[in-house]
Amino acid sequence: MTKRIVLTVFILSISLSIFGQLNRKKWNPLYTEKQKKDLFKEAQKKGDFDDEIFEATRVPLEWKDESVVILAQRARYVGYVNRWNNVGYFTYQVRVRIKMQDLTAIENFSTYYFNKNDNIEITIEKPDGERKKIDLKEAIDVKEKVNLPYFGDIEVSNYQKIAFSNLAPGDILDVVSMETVRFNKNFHHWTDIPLFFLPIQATKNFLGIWFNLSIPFTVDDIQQLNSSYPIVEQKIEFDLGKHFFLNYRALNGAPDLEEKISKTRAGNKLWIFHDVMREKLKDEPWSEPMFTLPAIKYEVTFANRRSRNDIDQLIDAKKRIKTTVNEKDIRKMAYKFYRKSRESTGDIYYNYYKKEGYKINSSRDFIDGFYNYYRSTKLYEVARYRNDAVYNTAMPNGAFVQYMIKILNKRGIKHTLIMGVPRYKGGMDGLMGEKDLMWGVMVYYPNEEVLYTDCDLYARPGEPNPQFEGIKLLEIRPARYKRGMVIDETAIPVTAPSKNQFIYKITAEFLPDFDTLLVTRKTELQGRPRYRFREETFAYNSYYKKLREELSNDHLFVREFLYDKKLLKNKRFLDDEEKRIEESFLNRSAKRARKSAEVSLKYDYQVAEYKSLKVEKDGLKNDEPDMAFVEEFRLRDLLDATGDGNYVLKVGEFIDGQIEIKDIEDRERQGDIVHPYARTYSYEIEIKIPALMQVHGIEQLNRDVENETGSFKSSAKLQGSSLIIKVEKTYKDIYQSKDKWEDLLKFIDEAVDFRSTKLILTR
Amino acid sequence: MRKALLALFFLAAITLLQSCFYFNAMQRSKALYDPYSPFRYGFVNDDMIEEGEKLKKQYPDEDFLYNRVAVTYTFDVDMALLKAEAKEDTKKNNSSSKKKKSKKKKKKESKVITVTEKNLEKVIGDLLEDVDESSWTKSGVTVTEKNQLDITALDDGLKFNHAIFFTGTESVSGVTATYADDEASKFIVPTLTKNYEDNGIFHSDVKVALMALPTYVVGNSLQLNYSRYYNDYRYLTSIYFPEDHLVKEKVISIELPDGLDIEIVEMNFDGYEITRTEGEPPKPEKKKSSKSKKSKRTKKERPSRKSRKEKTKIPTKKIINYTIKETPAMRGESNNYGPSHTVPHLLVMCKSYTDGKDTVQLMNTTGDLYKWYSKLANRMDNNNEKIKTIAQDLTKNFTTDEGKISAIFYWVQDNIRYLAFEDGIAAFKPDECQNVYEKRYGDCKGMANLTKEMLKSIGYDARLTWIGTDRIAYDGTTPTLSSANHMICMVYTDSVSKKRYFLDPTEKYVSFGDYAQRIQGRKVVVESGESYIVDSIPVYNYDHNKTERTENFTIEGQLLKGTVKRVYNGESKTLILRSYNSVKTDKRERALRGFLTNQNDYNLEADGMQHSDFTDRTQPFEISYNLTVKHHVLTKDKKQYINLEWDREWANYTIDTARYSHYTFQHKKHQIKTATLAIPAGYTVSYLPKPIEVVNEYFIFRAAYKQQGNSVVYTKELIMPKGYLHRKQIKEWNKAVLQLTDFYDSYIVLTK
Repeated sequence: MTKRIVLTVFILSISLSIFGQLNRKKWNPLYTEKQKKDLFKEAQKKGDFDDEIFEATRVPLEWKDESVVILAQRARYVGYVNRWNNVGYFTYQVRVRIKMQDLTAIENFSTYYFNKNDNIEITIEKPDGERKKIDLKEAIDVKEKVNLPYFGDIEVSNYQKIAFSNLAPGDILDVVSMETVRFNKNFHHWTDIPLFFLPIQATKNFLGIWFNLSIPFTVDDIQQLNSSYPIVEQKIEFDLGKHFFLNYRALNGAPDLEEKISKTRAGNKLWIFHDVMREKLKDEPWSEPMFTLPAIKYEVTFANRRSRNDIDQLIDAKKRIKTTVNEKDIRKMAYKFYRKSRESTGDIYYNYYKKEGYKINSSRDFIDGFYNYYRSTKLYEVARYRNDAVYNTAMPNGAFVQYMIKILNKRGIKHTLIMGVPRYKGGMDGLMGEKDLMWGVMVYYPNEEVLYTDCDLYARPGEPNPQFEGIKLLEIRPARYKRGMVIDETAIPVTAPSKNQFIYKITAEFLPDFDTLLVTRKTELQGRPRYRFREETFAYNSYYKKLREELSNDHLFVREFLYDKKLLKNKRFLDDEEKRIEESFLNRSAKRARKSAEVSLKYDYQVAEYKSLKVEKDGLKNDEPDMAFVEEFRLRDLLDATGDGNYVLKVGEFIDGQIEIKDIEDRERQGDIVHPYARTYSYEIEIKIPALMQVHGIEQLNRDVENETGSFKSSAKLQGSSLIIKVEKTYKDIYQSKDKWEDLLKFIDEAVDFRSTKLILTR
Repeated sequence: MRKALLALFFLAAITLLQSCFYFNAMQRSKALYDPYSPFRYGFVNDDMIEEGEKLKKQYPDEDFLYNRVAVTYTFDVDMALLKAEAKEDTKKNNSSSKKKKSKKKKKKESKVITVTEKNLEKVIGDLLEDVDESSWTKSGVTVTEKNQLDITALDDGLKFNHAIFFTGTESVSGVTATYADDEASKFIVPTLTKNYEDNGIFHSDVKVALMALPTYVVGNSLQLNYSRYYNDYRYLTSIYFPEDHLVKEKVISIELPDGLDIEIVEMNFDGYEITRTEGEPPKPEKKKSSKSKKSKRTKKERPSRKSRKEKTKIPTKKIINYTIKETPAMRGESNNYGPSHTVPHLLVMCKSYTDGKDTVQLMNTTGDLYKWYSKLANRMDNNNEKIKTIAQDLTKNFTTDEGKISAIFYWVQDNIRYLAFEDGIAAFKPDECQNVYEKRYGDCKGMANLTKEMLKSIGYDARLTWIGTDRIAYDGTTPTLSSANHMICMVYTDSVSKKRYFLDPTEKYVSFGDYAQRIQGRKVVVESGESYIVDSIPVYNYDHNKTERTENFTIEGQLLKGTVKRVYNGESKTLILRSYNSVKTDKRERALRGFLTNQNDYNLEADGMQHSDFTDRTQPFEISYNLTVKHHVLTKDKKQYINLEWDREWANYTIDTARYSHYTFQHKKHQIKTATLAIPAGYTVSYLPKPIEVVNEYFIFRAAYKQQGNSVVYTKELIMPKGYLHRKQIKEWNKAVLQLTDFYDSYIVLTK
């Protein structure tokens, strides 16, 4: 009997296992579109999208004149793993209620673009409470396709668009959306980095949810809470089971999460973000909302036990929620970064060493030489691959620093790793994982410390990217083991404004017609400002000459495969062809640069004639790091005859590009001030006064306003027959709190007023 | 043994031969279909570069040059279909053809096509053919347009970007190209086809096929060929001469079949070197290219199905050729008055067809045009029951006709959003009134129809009216589809005196009885059952749009302080109301502040604003405020220099003289400013700037300073009497605006 039972159980188990395996083969972990639609309907029936915040229909009194108010919005993440079949489920639900209060809002929200398979429901709610569901089946199919010779028609884009009927001011647009994912236990991990709520501001934006497992996200994973429209109430719910991990940061005073008991499933944890009465975001100059305004940042990660140690994301396996980064995490990320640096190939180094490196004794000279060689080689490769100009190309910061570390280790040069998070990602407080980090390497030479952060055409050793300046950074001393690494907090001081200078030397003389002025303007750029003018100067630079020397390549332009075989045998022809194409390329660039300079000049002046543009220094040589170019042009509309034989000279207008902050709304600041870098604008203007003419009103040109944020200083004097004016405007720091806005406006207003200064010239 | 060896040798030889043949075929086949075949050809030679350098010197400002463009139009006639159309009993045919076509479309959905040499022509033909055939049917007269473009690159390393636009009535096929005129390098051009979304049109059936072909060195020539097929002759309306790059020579050939009467109107030929010939089109000059001689594809090929079909066509009667030389590129121009006014082109109108026995009238008269219009309008199934109630409700408080009509007109303006669906027949057929009412959006046709039906429902004689806006150079009665691009409504208030009003509800905030510049003076075709009425929209003088600004200032220290009152009429008022109301509510005050201080001019400070209602379109719009002006008073010893001009309209506003089109000001303008400056006690006027007066047919500038008692009065009058500037007057305009700027920069001199 026992034997029989054992045999029966054995046969049953075998058959069940075979049956199970057969079944498993058929089982597709991914939901079909139909299944997703059914789940969406089920969730709606179950009331998953309901919440008391969506009962609001009225706009608070202070926002009655707003075009659009978001009454309520909620995102909900639900994830769990079924322990019986080891299948994971993840759902992302969103609901937004938008109150449209004027015709502009109707115009903006009246058309809607979406993807065919999006699970979305849109309802229009009238002020009397009548609700009308939009029939998305009426949408128009829009297809874009590529016709390729071998493949015929290939659809590259397929979306739908619909125009909402019967919209009127006062209507509420109620949008509900859901995405569902199912995956089996073989799926190791994934991370969802969502855009915070829907991009609903523009008419043509897709209202779809940016959620896809197969396509990596490229959107920023941080959002300021203030959106383009004021928000009455907003929530995010994270309802997550085992193997799901939440990484969350509340920045600049944003609300923290509240933990509650999940009703969805036993074992799930529920964290809720809740925020009320959030003002809309103002469009302000020198603004970095992620760094200065309340913002949140989060990611949800699924990781099974096997994958937890290998993933890039930082997780807390015990608590399942992580709100800060600890030393262990830093150590882990730094160690990984170091490990990767060992994997880089050393071809460029060996080429450099063979070429000239072996001759160099000084470690600083060797590394700087190597840096230049690496930069030339890599930028040329990348630019050629992208078919782009070299000045538009930069090496990825991480890859560059890793390569530098490899070489420094090889040469035995002492160095530390600098780790930071840029302001636009929330600074160090916003660090959630590797993807947030920017890297630099501090090299300790015998007599000096030099920081290397960037690898682009204008980067210099010791000139860090301004994103590193004035914020909290970490300095990590390398070691062979994680535990051996020493981590210190550090900061790199803000580069003095005098090192980031725009210097304009202007000479102006009256032409005999007394209608136009002949102006020669020399622009000198030191430090960061060089990046702004790279196109103008690139046309004339010696880059290719240098590149030829460095790469030992005679033919950087000629693409040999294009030429007739007979011509290819003729080396002289190819050399001539190389010269011809280079010349043609440089001429074209020069033409473009001149055009661009002329257009930019016309933005501020009435240009009667743009005569010439000559580059004196291209800013590419290490021993001549500044850039300089000279322009000659004729300006009109600066000199007006008064009719009584005298003239009015609009002398202030020689200062160009001055920002004006006039409207009362703009004079009130919402967020702190974040400049790109501290800088100085200097003008030395020499106006040659015609013989027998006298200048009046020079005293108006003496200005002096200085405070903590910056300064505007000017002075004028007559020197022989020339009027010499000196102007200096300085933005002293990168970061200033918003209560300093008044101070900043003081010297900006002075500069604006200076621009309106006029002098009288009498005979 | 020997036999075996021989057999083996024989076998090896055959295999070798076969593989050689196969390899050769492979190479040829790849060369045919691979867009990057020039990479393997080494087609660059020194002649090419030399020739290119020469052209580059000749045309230093151009990237590309069309050496030659040849466009041939061939008309195809199906008499049976024409007769059926004429009898208007094509409905059955249409519906059956629709079914057939929709089936065909389904078949086309397969994604992968394997290209072989045999099916090459077919594949080329099928590519790009993506016509929405749900609402379009083939007409009895169809047109095939063949384009051959010979392009030369004028610099190294460029990309020739080209776009082919086509609508639902057309299909484009056979987009192929060769490099250096070498037939062996022929390849199918990879294109991206997408819907073209124009501003203001939510959806249309206009598609654009985009392509980017690399040209490697200067002188690199490229030949691009494609065909366009018009399934209805009505949609071939005009043929333009200029292209997107400079054209050295362009030949347009029109092959007319026997019996087809076509009228070709030569538009804007003055100033261009255009010649007309009849007979075979002029052939291009032979190039020196050595490559073309090397072409191996010289063997006699079996004529393709298409060419065989051509042989069976109705014999052509005559070929008309137009040749233009050295035509500058036509590119996007701001404030374009409409290309048909100035750009050389041919207006093509098919009048009739006769096969010897019978004659079928095509688009011969305005009546034929109206017949086509009304045929589409009659397809509507209007149901005005619902809208009757709303129309009655809207008009219940009005006793006059004008009051009632304007109430409905304003309601449509305010409540129906302009949103255009121009897909298939919807581009010409108005949407039913009940649909537009329910949806609360529509295009000009839908809005005109709703207005008409609302008025009809309360007993007015309202009618649909077809009109061409001032963008179009042709008369609205010209029997071509390009003579009308808009629809409005006309309503009679008195059936005896035939007093009527035209209503264009797409013009938001326009007042009743007022007409936008774009429709003023235009001839219209008004529905009238089987027949039609030709009428014209009234024209208003520039004075109708007058903007008056009255200012009073005193000098306080170095500041000018005073009051300003602005009054806007006609279209200038409409523009103010429309602009203000299109701004988000929360941004309106800010926008108004910016508007009154010339977009936040640092020297102007406005406060104490009082204005009339921004929604009242029945009265002139008025706004008054206090203004403080800085830096316009200069003092030197006993002299004061005062400048009363800070608005500086058109100062330094020079326009490019090389443009193709007239410059539109959107509407006729009449701007008047009167500023009075109180002379401070103890001062006398020692100098007043000389007055300026520039009078031109298209613009008038008058400005002067006068002393009147203890005041200096500054008057300025700027008039654009026609609402646009003729391109031939741009030089005069440029001179005048500089003169005007000098006047703006002048000073009143007061002495103590």
